[in-house]
Amino acid sequence: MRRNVFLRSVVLVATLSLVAVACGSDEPEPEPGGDGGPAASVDPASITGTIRLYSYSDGFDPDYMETFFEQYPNIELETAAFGSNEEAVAKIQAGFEADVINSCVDEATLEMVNKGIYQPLDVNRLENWDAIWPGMKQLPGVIVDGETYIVPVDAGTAGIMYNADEITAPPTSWTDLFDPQYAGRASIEDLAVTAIDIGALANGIENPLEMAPDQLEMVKQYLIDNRDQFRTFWKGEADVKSQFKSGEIVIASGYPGIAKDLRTKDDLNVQFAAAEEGQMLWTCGYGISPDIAEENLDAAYALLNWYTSLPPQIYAATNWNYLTSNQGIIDAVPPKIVEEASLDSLFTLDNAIPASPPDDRAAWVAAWTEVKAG
Amino acid sequence: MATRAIERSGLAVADPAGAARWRRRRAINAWGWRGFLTIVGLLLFGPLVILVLFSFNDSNILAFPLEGVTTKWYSEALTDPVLLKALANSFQVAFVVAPLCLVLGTLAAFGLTRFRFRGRGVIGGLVGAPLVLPWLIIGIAALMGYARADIDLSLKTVVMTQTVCTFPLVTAIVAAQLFRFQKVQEEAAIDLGCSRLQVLRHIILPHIGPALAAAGIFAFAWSFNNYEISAFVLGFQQTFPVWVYSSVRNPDHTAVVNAISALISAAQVVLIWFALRLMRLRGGDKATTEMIAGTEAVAAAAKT
Repeated sequence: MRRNVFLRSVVLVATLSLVAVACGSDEPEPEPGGDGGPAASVDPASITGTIRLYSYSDGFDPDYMETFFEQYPNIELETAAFGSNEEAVAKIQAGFEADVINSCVDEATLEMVNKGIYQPLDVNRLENWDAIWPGMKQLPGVIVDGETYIVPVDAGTAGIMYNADEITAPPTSWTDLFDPQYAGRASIEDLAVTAIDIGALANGIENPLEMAPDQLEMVKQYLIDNRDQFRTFWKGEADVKSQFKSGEIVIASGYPGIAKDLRTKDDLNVQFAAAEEGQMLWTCGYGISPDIAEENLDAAYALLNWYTSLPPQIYAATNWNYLTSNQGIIDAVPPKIVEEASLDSLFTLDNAIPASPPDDRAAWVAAWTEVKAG
Repeated sequence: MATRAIERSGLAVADPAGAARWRRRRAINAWGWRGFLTIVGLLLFGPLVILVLFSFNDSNILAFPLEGVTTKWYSEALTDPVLLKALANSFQVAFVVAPLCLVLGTLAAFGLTRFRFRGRGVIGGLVGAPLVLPWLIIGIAALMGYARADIDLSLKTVVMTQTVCTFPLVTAIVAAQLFRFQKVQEEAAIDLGCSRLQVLRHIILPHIGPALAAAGIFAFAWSFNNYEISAFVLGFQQTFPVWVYSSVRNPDHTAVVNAISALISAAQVVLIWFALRLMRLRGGDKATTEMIAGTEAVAAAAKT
């Protein structure tokens, strides 16, 4: 009996310790808020608040953010990274709270708007709204039913990367990825929407996002029939760079920045070419959660205004080869950067296909899964 | 040696052809085992060797040929404030989770192995459930629970959730050891005048010591390496595995990830070597064997 009492006492103490650890909080209390006025009309240093930023990790890269902290010394930033928009949606719906949330139109912006993850933005408080490329404002999820939900910040176009030492005639079409002479030495990105888009465009379907089910079936079968054309389906930049460097592949779907990195950092003659059928345009941006505390709203708008200002956009174009949303970027960087990051392509986005999820995204994902399974 | 074995069995005298077959079969078995162990070794340690190799490669692309030898990725890793903070957070969490799990897991092991009470099977099942439930599900469920209870996400929520998921591991290891413990020793000590605390200190703890050491090491490692739970119940901080996952998107971080992972792996190898050495010093090879038996019990528990 005494033994039972002893053991129960120890169990009780241990349990209480655990509960005590769980119930406390080491999160700092939010600082007092700003003055409530429009961010554009006040001294940046006077804006205060704590912003919880939930983003891809490059969205709060310390070097990238340097000018933000110089400009807004009294805004505290707490950051958390996600690996994909799907992960972010799952976590937010399970109860995770953030104030400013990053998303990409080719992943889940529209879905996040529809699920109430963003609040409508007051465009009058977006200092650089008028300078944003008009084409970017038209992308799915940016403006819905007349309300603006995210401010586009960066973008990119998908095209064809090729080893110019091995392929002397630059590719011009998505069909070049399926050219038998590159059998087993080609690669495409392992993203359902992008891969199915490529298959559709290579088959002459001009508007892949509005494909009928029988067309999707045809594209799926085409990709399955050409499965051996591809050495692999690449998942990240590190993957595709390694494959080019080791000589496993000579042609792949990809982005200008990756090709530039391979040329400048790894001395490989990998070039980028746009496909005549159309180039997939991805765009990412930031919006504000409806759950943000009122006192932090000024700070949130300040962060959005900073993202669309020229200093971070110059950084992103120069270091990451991103297309950036502020039209002023063209005059703000040397012509060499304009060329390397294809910044001027934003003038001619006529054949751009917004890489946004189609209505029957689940069917596309299922089709791509079948293709990968062979 | 083989000849002596054959002679002892009498095969050489009675059936020379049978002895030759026996030798051939024995040689095939030996080579088979060597081949099997080589494959297992390559699968286990091959990726680690490649990781270390590329951590010294003067390029952040994982492809042969190597560009040259450099230690700059180690310098970058050890001066990256975000990475160092993530590492500090992981150590902080693991140093709290491991002792908590040792206490809770040992108590649960005692309760389940020493006492007969109504609902013992159900409680045993509940304790073992986190070993078989996907941690991703536990992470999402915990996040939903914290959100409903209005508890701020922080390292403390990570500690609590990891503790719940890790202490059953300790329970499995310690319970396996307690099952082998002969209770008569405990009763004899009490008959000879020992108090309960003296029995605990002089009889029980020395017996379960190796299992506790093994459980502590595994609890620490589980906590330190955990991604699935931390990713969901962590607030606006990062632990090391979460940092690694979020850095994968940035190819410039690949080599830095290799470098810091090589250091962490080396530290874990040293930790395990130290633990094994400690076991040998304190209890000889038997204690070491028992520790490994404890790990086998974990595998068995996980299967059930």
